[in-house]
Amino acid sequence: MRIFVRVFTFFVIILVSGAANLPPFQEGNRTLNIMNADTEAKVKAAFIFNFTRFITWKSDKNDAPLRIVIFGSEKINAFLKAYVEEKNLSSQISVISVNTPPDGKENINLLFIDNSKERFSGEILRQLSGKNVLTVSDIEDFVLQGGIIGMYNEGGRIKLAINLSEANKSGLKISAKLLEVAKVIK
Amino acid sequence: MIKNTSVGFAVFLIFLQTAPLCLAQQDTSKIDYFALSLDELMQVVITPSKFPQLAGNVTQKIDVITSQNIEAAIAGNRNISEVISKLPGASVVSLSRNDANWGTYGGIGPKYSTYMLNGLVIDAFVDPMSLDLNAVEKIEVQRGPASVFYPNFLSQDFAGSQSPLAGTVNLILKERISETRTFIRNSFGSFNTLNSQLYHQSRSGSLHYLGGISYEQSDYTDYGSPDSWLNMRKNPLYKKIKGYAGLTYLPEDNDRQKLNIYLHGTKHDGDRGRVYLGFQNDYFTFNSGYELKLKDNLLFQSHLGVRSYKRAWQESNFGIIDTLKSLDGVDQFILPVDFSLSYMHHTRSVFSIGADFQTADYATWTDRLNGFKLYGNKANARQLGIYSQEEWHPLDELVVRAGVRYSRITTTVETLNGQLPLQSDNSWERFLWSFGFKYDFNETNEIYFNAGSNFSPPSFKSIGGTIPVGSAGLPGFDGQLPNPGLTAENGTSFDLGIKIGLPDQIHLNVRGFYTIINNAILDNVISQSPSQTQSMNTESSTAAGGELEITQVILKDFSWFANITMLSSKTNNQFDADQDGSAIPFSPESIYNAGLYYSSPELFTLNMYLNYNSGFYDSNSKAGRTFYKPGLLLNVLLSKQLYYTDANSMEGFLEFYNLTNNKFDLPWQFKNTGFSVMTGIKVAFL
Repeated sequence: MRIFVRVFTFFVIILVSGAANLPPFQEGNRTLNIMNADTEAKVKAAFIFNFTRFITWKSDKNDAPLRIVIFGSEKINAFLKAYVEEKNLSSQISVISVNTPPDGKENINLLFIDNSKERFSGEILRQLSGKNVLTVSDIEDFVLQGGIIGMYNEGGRIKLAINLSEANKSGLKISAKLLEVAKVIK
Repeated sequence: MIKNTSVGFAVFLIFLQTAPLCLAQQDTSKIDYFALSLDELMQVVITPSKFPQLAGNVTQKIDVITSQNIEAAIAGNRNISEVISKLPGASVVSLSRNDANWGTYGGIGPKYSTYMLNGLVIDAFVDPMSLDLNAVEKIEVQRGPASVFYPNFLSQDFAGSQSPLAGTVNLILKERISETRTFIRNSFGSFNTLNSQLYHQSRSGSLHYLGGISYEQSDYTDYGSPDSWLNMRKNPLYKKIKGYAGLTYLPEDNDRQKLNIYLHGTKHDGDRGRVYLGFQNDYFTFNSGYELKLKDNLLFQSHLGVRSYKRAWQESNFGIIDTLKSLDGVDQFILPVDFSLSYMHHTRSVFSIGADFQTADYATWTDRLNGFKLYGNKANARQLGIYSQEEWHPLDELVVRAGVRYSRITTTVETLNGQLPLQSDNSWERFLWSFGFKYDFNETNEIYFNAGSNFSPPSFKSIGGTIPVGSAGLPGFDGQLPNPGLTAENGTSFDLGIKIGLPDQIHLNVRGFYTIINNAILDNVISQSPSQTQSMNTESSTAAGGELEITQVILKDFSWFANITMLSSKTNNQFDADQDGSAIPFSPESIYNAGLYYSSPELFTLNMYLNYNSGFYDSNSKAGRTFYKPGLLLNVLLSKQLYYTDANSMEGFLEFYNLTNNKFDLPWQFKNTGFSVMTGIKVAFL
């Protein structure tokens, strides 16, 4: 028991000293927030941002900003928004977070469905099928359920899967570069 | 001595805590993920329990069992080891719903893979039958010799100290809760088994929390082989209640730090089929973890845990009328703590240093109906580890990992087999190493190699036993015979594997491995009735094997997998012809697994899993060993969504365990209880 007390005391000392050394939070510094944020969410947000470069929508010819809707992940929404604002891209890309499942009537170019909202995905995909909306998710086997781009974890890395027939059905053109790095399901 | 070690340990930890701040001031490298190309983003490794590692710094083969896989798994003996049994190399020998798993991993015996909870060691024998899987997000199984990050688990019970030489099994708890969710799951089935589960998760700002209760009771059935020493005269009733709660603090707008706490308790009591063969097991687990991102490329992590295992049982004289003889028990209290610093440099490489410490109190006792306990073994063991590892990326496609660990184990014995020990203090020191590399040919093809060393001193249970020295072969004395002459064992393990991606979503993995343990401590069954085991040193033990696995996702609703493991194990002992050349106990020659998953558009789901184990011996004594052949085990899960809205769902399910009713014999005169079925309903709501 004495050793328990000693080790516990040391643990508390270390935690206290760690808290004392804690760099002050800089909530006003958006860049710092991005750099310190959860890595997995950051990487997913970066992937979503990258997709806008490699996909062609029918609406690309008009000047309206590309509408990215995030369903179920406050983190990804925050990182994307912060980056778009930081790079002054608001006139080109608009990032919106929703708490209820989109019903297909909204104006959406890219919809991300977080895996926590998996139970809604079937209905969402049914309503968006054939519409000019890029559906992206980290739900397991998302592309096999009719989604267009799926993010999945393999060996700890995020990999991509693309359902090409769904993309074609939705009138989306995917660049060869994106198809090259993803697992393509026809 | 303990004091000096502890003071040194604390000074080292404070150094760890302050040194990185100095280092960090000079390093300005950052990763801007938005600036990375698609190729580069796909090289970022997200490992939940460790610092984010780049470009596949993990060189071992890792399998992830997701929460969906966990839910679809059938654990007929209520043991987590059954969930991982479909992976290559795992041979699960779960004795009953009331007893531990004595299987092997990589053919080298039951104590060469460690279990962890959020990266902190737990017991591979007790915790898999104690912890509740509802709180688990995923299970990461790492095959092959582990890195120097992971220490032995200092257990003194069962087969003793557990080392990560053949692999690790890491249970990752749910931490980030995205929505409030509650479910109730009730099922009923064979042996009048009633199982009820209540689970709730939610968040409040930065606090994410979960909690639940599980209860199971059953009349169960005789799990002793014919003429078993268990001598059951009635159904062995049991009750098991688990309670757990977890809390994670994740700042909403800044992930510089993370704190999580998890508590779990299990109360498991019942009897072994006779009026005076009751048992009562009380297990408690506390796990806490703290992460602090000192700089973008510098992470401090620490964990503290408490593991308390209390097992008590009645011993009786078997006759026309049973009479109670004694109340016996084992108490074990283990406290692990660790600290580490990970420093990311040159964009993709990671340098880590860390330290860990464990203290384990172990006692075996008997109450001969006098109202007080007589202690057979009473002892304490401490383990200190200090390690350093570099994960270096000389090329984009190549990662090289090398590490070294200093390990010191010290023991203090108060009593051993009821006697004062000849030597009360003992200690062992070793430098351990680990090395590995992985080369990615392209996105789907890779080759990897890993090697590492480990050592384990004999456990108190092995040295002091649980029954007296002179009780060998005497009726009424079931347990472990002492062997005070045991010495520490040293092991080295290697693996080499390739991963190949084929057309049509087919993935192929081939892995070979070789492990040698010098002075291996093996648990041999000495007598079936009375049921007696004794630990013995051999000159060396070797296990070599190969794994072949294939997976394919054919359609969105249909996937399958199959794997084969071939093993060859041998005990070498030129001084004992009876042992020389015999196979390692519990190590089979081959294991086959296959499974399929099908989901219909009507929300009907089928999961089928088949396992074939070619059989193994229970001892390395050629004269005294018995061969056991589990053979085929076929499990099927059927489920259907009965009701479904945005907020609520109701699912009905049917679990068929051991469909072929294969009542195969198991060591210590146990047997598989054959076919059983459970059916129930799960209702989930926001």
